[in-house]
Amino acid sequence: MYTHNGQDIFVVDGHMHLWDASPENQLPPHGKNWIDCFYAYHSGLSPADAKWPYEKFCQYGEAALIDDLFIQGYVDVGILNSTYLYEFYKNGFNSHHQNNALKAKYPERFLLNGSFDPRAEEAGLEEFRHMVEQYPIAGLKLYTAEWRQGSKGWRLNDPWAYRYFELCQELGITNIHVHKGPTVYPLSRDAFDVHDVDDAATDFPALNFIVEHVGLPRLDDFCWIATQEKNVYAGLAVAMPFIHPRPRYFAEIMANLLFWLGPDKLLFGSDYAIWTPKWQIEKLMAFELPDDIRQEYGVELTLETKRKILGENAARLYGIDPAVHREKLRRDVLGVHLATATADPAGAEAFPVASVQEHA
Amino acid sequence: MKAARLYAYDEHMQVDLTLEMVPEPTITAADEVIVRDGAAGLCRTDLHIIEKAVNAGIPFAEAFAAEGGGDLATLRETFLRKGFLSRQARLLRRLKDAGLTAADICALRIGDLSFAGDTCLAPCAGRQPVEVGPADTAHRYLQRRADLGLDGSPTGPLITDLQDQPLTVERLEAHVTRARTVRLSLEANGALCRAVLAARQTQAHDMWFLGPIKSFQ
Repeated sequence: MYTHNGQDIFVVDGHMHLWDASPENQLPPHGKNWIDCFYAYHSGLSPADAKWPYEKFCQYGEAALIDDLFIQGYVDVGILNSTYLYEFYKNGFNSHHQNNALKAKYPERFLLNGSFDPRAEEAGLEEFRHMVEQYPIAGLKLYTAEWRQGSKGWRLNDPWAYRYFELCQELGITNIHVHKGPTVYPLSRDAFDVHDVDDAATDFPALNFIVEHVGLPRLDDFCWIATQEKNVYAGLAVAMPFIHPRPRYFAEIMANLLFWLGPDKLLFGSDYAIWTPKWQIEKLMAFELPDDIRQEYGVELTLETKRKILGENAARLYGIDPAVHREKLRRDVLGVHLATATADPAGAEAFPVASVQEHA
Repeated sequence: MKAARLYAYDEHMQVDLTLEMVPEPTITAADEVIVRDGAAGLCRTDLHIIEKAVNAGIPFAEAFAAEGGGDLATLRETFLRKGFLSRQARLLRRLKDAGLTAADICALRIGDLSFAGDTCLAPCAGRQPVEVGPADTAHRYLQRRADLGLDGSPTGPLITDLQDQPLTVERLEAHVTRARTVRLSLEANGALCRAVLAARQTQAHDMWFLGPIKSFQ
């Protein structure tokens, strides 16, 4: 919860992870290459006081996550965007099995997103059904550049992907987050090209496609598609942190998104733990579009728009009523802890978190 | 033992290569060694180059079938078209900042632009020409027009769409908005590429995204 002039702002972090990139979990050579590239993103865009040591970045654990999101970071609900990478990490980078341990422990604090890989074809359809039966899957996170048995990616408009989308409709899974745009070494840049969203969104109008990272740096390609397709949304993870080192670029991204998509289709995401949410949210709340950009694009980044971006838009997509949900959060273990800490900041102790592995 | 011996070659890769029987080598001086090859690799790409695929104008996708993801001609065309919009967006920004109205801009002919040293000038509502930014901005835009085969004659309209149709006052705003988004993407793309290159060359994590890209600040 972020409080602005006495007004509560409901915050949904639409894109966050609890990953394990420890040396023990890495498969050579790309387990290390992958996390090194992530660390470059982290250290390249984070403010100096929000930079982590490399070892912590590889494996930070549940206690750090709870503190960074909910205690320090204003987040009310986090969306666990499961990312598998079984060819780079022995037990996966952060699978829905692993993420579910967090969801089970703090049920009101997380939405658990699963995934599918159409290259698993018929057998994968059955697995997908099982995942939805066995886990509280709220939505999906798709990763089209994931490596699999020699293949370096797939497309949303592949015939097998369509079979999975049909199953999503049947099972009532409607929110589909898709990573599009920035690549991570050693994945193929072309496999993250945004153009396949165009076909999938047209052919599945009942599904919502939240395009994570808005296709950056090729924002124009994303904007043309999102303007035409009314079920395409902008996930701001990776766009957000530019607010610190490149505020002018960030302003231009936001002006474009507000102009082409409007304020109701933009969703905040920190991409934790690449970046922590606290400074991103504080800087967004303090941010104003430069006058020349406001005039040139004819758009405003108002307080109302910031409220929508930070939580209301995601809450609407996931069927959450912020007022009702806020009451539930007040009563869960973290809510109680936060209330105590606020009442007596000096006497507050750190929130005691047992490691997630013990609960898995 | 058998040996392949290369006696001569020229720039056209005409080679005098023969397979012949030779005596087993022996070491006859202190600075000689005998090397036994365990295995040798051969890159198909090298063969294609030897076969003059590139110089003969064979398309990229054909010459580098194992590596190419598509035809480079299409990619080049996309770059040129996006580059045209991006450079046009920069010029339009300069014209607007100099006080030209949409009607002034739509009425401009290529020959209306004049240059004084490093500065470009354009007529504003029939009055004396005003400065509209660096000459380089206009030259770079005109170069992309030429690259795309668009009309470059002095009497041709200065601002057209990609089909070389002149823009009307009504269409200008929407066109500018689109061109502006393309410009932003290209600048960001270029900045990322430079930063990634810098990171690779230095192996320093902190170099990511932090190259000296003034246009963002």
